[in-house]
Amino acid sequence: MSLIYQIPRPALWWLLIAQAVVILPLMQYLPLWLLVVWAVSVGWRIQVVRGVYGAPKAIVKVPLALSMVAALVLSYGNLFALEPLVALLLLAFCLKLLELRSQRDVLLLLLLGFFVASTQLLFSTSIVAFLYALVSFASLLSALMALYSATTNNSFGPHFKQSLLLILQAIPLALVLFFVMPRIGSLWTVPLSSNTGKTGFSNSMEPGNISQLNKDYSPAFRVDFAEKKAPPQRSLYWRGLSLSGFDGRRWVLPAHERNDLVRYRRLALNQRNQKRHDWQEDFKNYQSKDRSRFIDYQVMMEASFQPWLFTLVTASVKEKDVLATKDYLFLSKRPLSQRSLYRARSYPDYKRQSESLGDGERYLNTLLPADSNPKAKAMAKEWRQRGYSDRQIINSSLELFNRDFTYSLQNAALNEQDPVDDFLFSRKRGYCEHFASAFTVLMRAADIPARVVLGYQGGQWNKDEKYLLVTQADAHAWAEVWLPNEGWTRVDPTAAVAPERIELGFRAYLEQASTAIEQYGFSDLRQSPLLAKLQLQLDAINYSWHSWILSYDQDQQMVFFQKVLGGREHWRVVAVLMGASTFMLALLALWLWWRGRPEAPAAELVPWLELEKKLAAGGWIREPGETPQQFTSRVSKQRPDLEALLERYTKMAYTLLYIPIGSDQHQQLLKDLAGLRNSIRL
Amino acid sequence: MPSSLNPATKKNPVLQKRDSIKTGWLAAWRRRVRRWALKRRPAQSSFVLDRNNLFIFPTGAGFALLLVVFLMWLLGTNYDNNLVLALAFLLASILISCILHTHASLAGLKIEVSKLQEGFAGDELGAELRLSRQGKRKYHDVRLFWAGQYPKAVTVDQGDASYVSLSINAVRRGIIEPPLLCVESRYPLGLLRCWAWLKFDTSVLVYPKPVEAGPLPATASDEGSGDSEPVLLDGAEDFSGFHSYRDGESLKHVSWKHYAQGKGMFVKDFQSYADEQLWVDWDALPGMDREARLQRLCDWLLILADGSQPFGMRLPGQTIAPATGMSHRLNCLRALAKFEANQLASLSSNYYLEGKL
Repeated sequence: MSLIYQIPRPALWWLLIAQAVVILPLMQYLPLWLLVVWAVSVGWRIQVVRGVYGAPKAIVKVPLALSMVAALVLSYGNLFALEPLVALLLLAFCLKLLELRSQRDVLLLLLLGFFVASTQLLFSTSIVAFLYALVSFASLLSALMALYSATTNNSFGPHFKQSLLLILQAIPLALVLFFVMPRIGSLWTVPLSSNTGKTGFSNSMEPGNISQLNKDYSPAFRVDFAEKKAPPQRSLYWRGLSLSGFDGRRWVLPAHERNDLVRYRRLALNQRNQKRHDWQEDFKNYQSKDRSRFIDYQVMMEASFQPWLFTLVTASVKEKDVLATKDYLFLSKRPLSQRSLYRARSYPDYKRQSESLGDGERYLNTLLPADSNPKAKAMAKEWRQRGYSDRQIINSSLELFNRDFTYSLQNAALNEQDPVDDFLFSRKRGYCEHFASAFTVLMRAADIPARVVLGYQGGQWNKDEKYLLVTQADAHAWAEVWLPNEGWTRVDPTAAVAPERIELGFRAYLEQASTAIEQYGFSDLRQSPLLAKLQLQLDAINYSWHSWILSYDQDQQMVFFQKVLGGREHWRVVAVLMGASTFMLALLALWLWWRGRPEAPAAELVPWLELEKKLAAGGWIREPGETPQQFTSRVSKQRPDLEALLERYTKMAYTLLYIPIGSDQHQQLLKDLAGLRNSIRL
Repeated sequence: MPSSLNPATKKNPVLQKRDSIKTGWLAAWRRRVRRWALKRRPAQSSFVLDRNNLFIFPTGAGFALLLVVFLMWLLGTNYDNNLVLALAFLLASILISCILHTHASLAGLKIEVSKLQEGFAGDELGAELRLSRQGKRKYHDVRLFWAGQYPKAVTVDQGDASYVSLSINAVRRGIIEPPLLCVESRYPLGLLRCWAWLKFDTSVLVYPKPVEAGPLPATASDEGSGDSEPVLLDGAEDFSGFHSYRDGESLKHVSWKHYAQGKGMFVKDFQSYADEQLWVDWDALPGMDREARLQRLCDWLLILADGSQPFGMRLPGQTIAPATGMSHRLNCLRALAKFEANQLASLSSNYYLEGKL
């Protein structure tokens, strides 16, 4: 009574297809040699099927598997991070091909496939990745279908179509489960992705590392303003981190701030000890004033694998595990390895007058390496010797930029030793990081405390969905100088060179740029307006995807329960779960029934079937194979009184069935038959 | 005495014990379910599969998929990844909607036994089933098997009906009914099994199994003479000439010599004595029990039916006059099959469940 345990050939092909579909997207994140392992396994399996090779023996398989695991350990260093674990799973998924003996092995492989296909989404949560996962599910389901279909069907189309249909039919119920099934938080800590800082910038700035981001239109974050209206572009300076350390070329965090976790702990300790700085008090007082103007917004940040949050100037962020630094910047306890959401309130008019500058800080922010960029230092010193005030020095350097300098992407490598001198006195063209760096060096040389700030500038306003999209291309660097009675003040030297860049935002600037700009190296960055518009629309879809599907968590579920179910008691949840599931399944059942419903008999046959029904009620049932005439004559033998009637009826029914007549006659005939039928009394 | 275990079980008693418990428990459970189903369903000549006779339960693959759903749920929950959770829910809901699909892949199918071939005890009897569709519904991968046999898969998706040829074991002589028929489907994904056990009221005649009985005793035409000295069958006839071969004639008397010489196919004629009648006679086998006698009678009958001479058959209370031809042969075989059939032990429930006595 056992079933046939062989593997049907179509199932094997489907298995290989499904494996390819499942493995491909993972290759973006895992070592490519896994693809070779898979290809070799496939080759071997095919040769086994063709009868060329035998199935590999244990003496081959075991060392093979062990050496692969060893190779993984070697290439990753440790196994307990996300990538090596997924790679291990994928390895098993590939090598199991060498060991396919029965249906059960294929089943195991396919079930593993479902799991592997879903790990792809740990790396990417875009719509495309999800749709792709659905396609890989469909191919795995096709393989499963081929595995269990006993009547061999060698064509590939029907299985795949059927699988897609199955998925489509399952989606309503899956949606119910998705929204209503109670969520619980993580059960235990899991190894996270080890890939850090792939996108966005790192915690340092040197010539060239921001300009290379400008080709990257992937979103950095999206901002949802409470007013559903964006402030003007020129005020959209998204501050991320400030760099005070300088080695003549590279801007870095000062040594005591370089370890993010230590820095966070120190901040947390200060907060716990109620150790408040006067600036914090002052800002608090300002916040409580009635007349203070503020902007509320919510930032949905892509995974940056860095701990910094981006805010407009003088913001307050009240989120768990987020602390403010002395620079009004925000540090998260852990690097943002997932897309995360935070709410912020910014006070654009707040003056940081009360901010004092300690001696240590003054020293730190005026420090320049002694042996580099002598010309720049000399020029700034000269300004100072002329008796210029701080303001005048700032203005004269901005004037210098405006007069002689060009905003350009074509930045040939600057002199290694004195990059700022090289930029200021020979190249005279550059990108925001060059201007920010040179400006800060000039300020420091003139003994004005200054630092570089990294962040994003501008963004694109999405009119339909009403949110601001900030991409990596909007990355920007500017400077902040400390002025007595004003505190840290933003100065953007780029605005002096290319004010349009700041007024319009990076992308609009590129679109506006005429041929004149092209010689400066922006031509390959400019997108056609159509493409840009399309991209914006696509991003709007992405945004709804994020806010509806990806960020649906326990809290949102509670809100959903409250709103839709009118409460969050257990019985409500269970009732809705059962009710909605039953409803969805009932719809499916109805569809299945409708598809296979019994067919109505042809209209011409109906009178005869009616007669049969009537006679059956009287106890006469037509035998299978008995013609109507035989049947009626059999009835007539027992009921001679009906003979004439039945004979006439049969004849007319035949006429209706076989003789083509006009529709008038047809109607008449139907009427006559009905009358005749009524006159039959059993 | 502790050493009463036999050496085989002594070698690995744990394994043996566990094995036997597992199979025993499962088998007992299955038998119990089927016995219950047997009692519940009256025999019918045709069945329409519906809620009343269909059962459905996940297969091993279904339970394994459930485990995968659980693992995916853990993955999604621990990584706070809504998309992985969504996929887990999707897979679960595919499993749930497969309940409907699998049920629909059998529901409405009408099954009847269209042909049951008579045969000898111990043979496989051809049994043809007619599967008719409801409306335009398609029935993929319907597996059918009689209890104790291997399944045969068929797809009913064209025309009004499909026919499937299976075979049943003729377990004994007499009138037998087929064992329970299992109709099952795992369509579309093999995650669930939907099945029905059907008991048909159709019956079929089973002839006795022929058992070599030695030469046929020649009985004289004059029954009173009592001359019952056994004579070889061939001795009862004399060669008288040839006639050309006619279709359907036994190959026994073909003159292969002529055929080999390319002269055509001729059959040797034997002249039997006009006054000598051949009888397959119950009384010729004294001292045997009923079934043994019938088996030997059947053997004689087959030998005689292969020849061209008329023969008759005598059973207690029943005589079939001498004749020749296929229909005569069939009459005789049927008489043997039916002989005191009502006195045979009725088929046990075990037969219906396992397909063997």
